[in-house]
Amino acid sequence: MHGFNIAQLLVDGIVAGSMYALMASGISLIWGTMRMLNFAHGEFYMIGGYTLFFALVALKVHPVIAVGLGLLATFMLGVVVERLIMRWLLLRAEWEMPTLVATLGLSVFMQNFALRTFGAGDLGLPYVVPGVFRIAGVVLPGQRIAIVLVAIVAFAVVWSILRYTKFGVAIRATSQDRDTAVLMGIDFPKVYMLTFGISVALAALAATMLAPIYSVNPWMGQRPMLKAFIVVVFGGLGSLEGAILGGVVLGIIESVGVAVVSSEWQDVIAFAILILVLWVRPQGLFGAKES
Amino acid sequence: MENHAALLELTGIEAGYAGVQVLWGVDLELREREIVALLGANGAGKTTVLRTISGIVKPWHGDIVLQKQNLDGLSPREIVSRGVIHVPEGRHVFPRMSVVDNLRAGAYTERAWSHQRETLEEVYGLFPRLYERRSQLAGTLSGGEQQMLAIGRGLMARPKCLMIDEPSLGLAPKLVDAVLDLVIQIRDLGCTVLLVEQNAQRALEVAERAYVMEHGRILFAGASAAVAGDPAIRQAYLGL
Ligand SMILES: Nc1ncnc2c1ncn2[C@@H]1O[C@H](COP(=O)(O)OP(=O)(O)O)[C@@H](O)[C@H]1O
Ligand SMILES: [Mg+2]
Repeated sequence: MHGFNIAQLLVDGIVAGSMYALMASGISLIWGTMRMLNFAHGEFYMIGGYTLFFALVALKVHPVIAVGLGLLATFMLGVVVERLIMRWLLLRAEWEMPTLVATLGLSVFMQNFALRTFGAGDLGLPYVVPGVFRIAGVVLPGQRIAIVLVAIVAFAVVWSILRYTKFGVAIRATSQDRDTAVLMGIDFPKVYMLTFGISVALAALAATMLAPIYSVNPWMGQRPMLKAFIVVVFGGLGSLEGAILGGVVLGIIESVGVAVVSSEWQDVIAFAILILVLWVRPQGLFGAKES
Repeated sequence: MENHAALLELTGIEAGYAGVQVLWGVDLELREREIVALLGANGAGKTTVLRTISGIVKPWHGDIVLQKQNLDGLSPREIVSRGVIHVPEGRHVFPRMSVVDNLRAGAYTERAWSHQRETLEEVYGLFPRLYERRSQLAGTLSGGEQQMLAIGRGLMARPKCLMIDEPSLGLAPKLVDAVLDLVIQIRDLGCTVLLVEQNAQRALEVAERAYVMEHGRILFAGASAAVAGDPAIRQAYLGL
């Protein structure tokens, strides 16, 4: 075709998709374990972004430490939010609506809190990873290579925790049959609390990778979160593999689609896919049908 | 018959769900290393007795004492770690976890987790079938295998007392034999078994003693032979 570099489009798609996947896996983890949707996921992403910014600019710490602080702060905030707000709602017989509304409210609160505290301006950050590489005609800034590597490591870590650790056994048992998990002596409120913390820390990780490319502002979490919701519908809610594959596939479709039409169409493409998937395969590409 | 020490004692237990009383003064005693059957028709309150012992349902009145320690106010987790394990009605294996991961979930308490390897060997010894299928997803097992897994998972906690709710439900007669055989083997390993059954005939064959429930009350308690030999009980409550 007219000068499209397919390899470049695929690589760009994978870079964007790995971050969609990171966001989506957090949403999926919470859904899979607690059966609730977290509409404030994007605001935890924002917290990660601001923490990175202040750690780099005000504290002037090493970027790796700044990323670590972003994860830690967001994890702890997530644990506190779960303990103080979600726990009481989740213990009710009817928890779907209250938790959904609570996370929506939390989202609005956190955005406006950030707006009052930090102002509306975009805070820019330098690339944490310098350099641009060219491989076989594909242009790859170091930051973007780092993004994909970080995502791969993050998925490997989450997967290993779920698969091999005692806590992972507890998460999986709780997600498959909470009442029976209790009979094993599994303390599901603790599982919920830590799962929530890990999930939002994944959002913060995505933010610390993307903040240098975009910028930090009170609404920075909105688009990543919408994309993540498309991905979880696409890949099947509650499935880590689905979140990863769904994220990468969406990234590639968007990147190729934008090259064919134009960039204003990026979100249109994403939502068209969402509608198509909901129509043809409501359980997602990898999700099992729920009975 | 035997004078084994008391293990678990329920006195005057009253309990229910959301204000609706189900248990009306239940007394029940389990001694060490015995098999006790808890019998009664559907809806009699057998499962509720097990849930009350395992701390899921909080008793309104009465005491549950395990080896001289009152279990009042303990969470299910604390009761599990004291060695009282509830194998739920309908198996409830974790369907999308492998057989071995289901077993690991059963060893969740700290003490059990640190002895995981030895216990796993023991459980595989009792259930060679589970060893053959160890990497298979539990949801793909047959009903009989799932029941074996549910019991094996309970054993992974290294229980003093294993309460098994309706293990023969929906199983072919041959498999019922196999399950009841296992109950005897488990008792012989030193574990007390509280066997809840609607299938009274078979339960009475393996149990030393039996309790018969109706409408949330214990109507009869005694040696299995006495229960089996009482025509009135057989007819009225056990449908034999
Ligand atoms: N979760 C529950 N909520 C309300 N009522 C229940 C619940 N579980 C059982 N019951 C009621 O308690 C009574 C005893 O039930 P159960 O203990 O399950 O009996 P069994 O195990 O002997 O069949 C029944 O009348 C049943 O309807
Ligand atoms: Mg029952």
